[in-house]
Amino acid sequence: MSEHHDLGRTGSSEEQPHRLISGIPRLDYILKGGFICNGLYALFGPPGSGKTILANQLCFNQIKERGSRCVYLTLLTESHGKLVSHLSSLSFFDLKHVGKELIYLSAYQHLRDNGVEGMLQLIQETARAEEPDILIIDGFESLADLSSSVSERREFIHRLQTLVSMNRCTTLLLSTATAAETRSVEEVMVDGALQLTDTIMGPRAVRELNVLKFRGSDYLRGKHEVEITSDGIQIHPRTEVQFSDPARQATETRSRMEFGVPELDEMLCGGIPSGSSMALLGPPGAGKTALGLSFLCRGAELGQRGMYFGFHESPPRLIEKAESIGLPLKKYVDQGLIEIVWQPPLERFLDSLAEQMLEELRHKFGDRPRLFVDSLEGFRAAVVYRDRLPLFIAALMNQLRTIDVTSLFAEELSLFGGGMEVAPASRELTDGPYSDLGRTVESALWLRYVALRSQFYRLISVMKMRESSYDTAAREFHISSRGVEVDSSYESAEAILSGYAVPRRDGNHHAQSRSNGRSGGGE
Amino acid sequence: MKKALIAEDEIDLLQALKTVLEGEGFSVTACKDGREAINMMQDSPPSLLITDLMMPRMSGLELIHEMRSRNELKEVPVIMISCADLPDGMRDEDIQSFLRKPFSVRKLLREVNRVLEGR
Repeated sequence: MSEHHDLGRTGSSEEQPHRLISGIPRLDYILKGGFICNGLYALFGPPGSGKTILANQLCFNQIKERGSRCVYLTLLTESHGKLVSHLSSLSFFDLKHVGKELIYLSAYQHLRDNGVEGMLQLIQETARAEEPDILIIDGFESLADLSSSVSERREFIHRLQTLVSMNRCTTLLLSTATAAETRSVEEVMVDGALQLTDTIMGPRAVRELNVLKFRGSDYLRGKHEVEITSDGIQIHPRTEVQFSDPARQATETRSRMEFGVPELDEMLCGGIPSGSSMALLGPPGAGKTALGLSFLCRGAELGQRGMYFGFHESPPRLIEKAESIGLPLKKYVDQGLIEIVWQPPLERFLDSLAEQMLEELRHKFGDRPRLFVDSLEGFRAAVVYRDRLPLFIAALMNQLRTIDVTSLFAEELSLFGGGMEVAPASRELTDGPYSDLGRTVESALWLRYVALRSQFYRLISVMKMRESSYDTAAREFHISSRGVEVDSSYESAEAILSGYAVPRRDGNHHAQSRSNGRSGGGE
Repeated sequence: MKKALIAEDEIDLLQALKTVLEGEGFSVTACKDGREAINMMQDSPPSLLITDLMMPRMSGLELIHEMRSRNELKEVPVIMISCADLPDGMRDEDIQSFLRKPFSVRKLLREVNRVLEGR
């Protein structure tokens, strides 16, 4: 999405308004090209929501990229010394521009002494003296406090709009006004209004941006996550409004993407169709990670690049685990064929995770990459609005298909209940977590434990595979130092599920064979 | 009694500086931009000027250049305060001290005493 970060002004004809590209990550994407030059915009938000950072980031970006001049006029009692001191820890801040291209002025006392008329005169004098490209007026709520009536405030905004437009100056009014009636005047009269919020949702504090109006252009409606990092404001547009459209054209001829487990690939008639997605369903320890890593390692063996996008195991631990089941993950990581993208167990932003994944896959992974997400629970933990998840997953899958990624999504079923049942489709699979994934993926593998007498057995089944034939029978599988091994027929699975031990070719009863040999492993 | 003039557009800081200097026995006058400062100094030059750099209507830099061009004001010692760095084009003889905001009262008084003792 780097094309959305370019700075400068766009547009050239009389019909196309020039745009002022903020350079604030993905804000210009939400505004479909940035602010319209010489417009008057309002940014509402409670203290701490990020208004001041956003406005300063805009100024510094414009100074660095275009050599713009900016005036930051405060109507607050906050000291400029403190303001600069707080901003100085952010990477976009550069003291050398302060006092030169970026001028901080306080107009609070002037407004108090001379009223709104004097304030307009001061703005005109400042615009003439400094010739700013960008004017920020911070603490605009003071004007509401100090003006004598709503009509006076309305008149002020009307005149300000004319003034800044004539001075060719894009202006941003920052206000803490939250009540709809307080901000209604500004909202109605300005060219665009943006709202930042900072809300407690359960134990989490969540910042969001909502574009309330934007004259002269389409924009992405609704709430978008906002993060404040050491680089300043980062906005994460909702994935489902970005990628809701399916690919307009089919990708080139599909091929089959093998797991490198011959019997499983046989069950899948050669592997997963490229550019499609598969759910790996199973309780903890059933073998989802082992299968996913097999899929990535097989791809690497064939020269196809792959990404492990995981939330649980740190890279060293994952490599250790892979090596213990005979998968040369370290070698492929060292060769750059597999990348482990690990998300440490911190609070995450759903759309930020999707952005990170998609940007890497688009720009670094070449043709037909493989992806293993371990597991969907990591996305679920980042969700603020539960209702979003099905739409989010559908949009993410659409985008993965568009860029021809073959993906595996591990999905944890509960250890007790659905995952342990012999029934092919438990309630958990239709109403539980899998329901988010089940409607969207093209295929699904179900891994499960089955208890028979004193033993647990692992079985694997292909639950669905769109537009492809597949083996409908369950098979027993094992995980050992030789990797994942699936039985060559359904016979042992049938014996286990019917509750009868049957003789194997080596003459041992199935249960005896397990207890003497290939137990253990796990994810 | 020593007279100090403070030119500062941030009202809270202006009032705080006034309180501190009055506590030190100064007679303090205050204004919120360079243009007001020039008008106030014309009749009665102060013993010390403390001025902000970035102010509306007339900046601290313009104020100092204006003062140095006037015989009656060119000897007034100046402490400049700013959240920015010392601006380019400022000569050593233009100001006697520069303080980066935010600064402590102790540092301010040390500079006030140093500047006045140097006269």
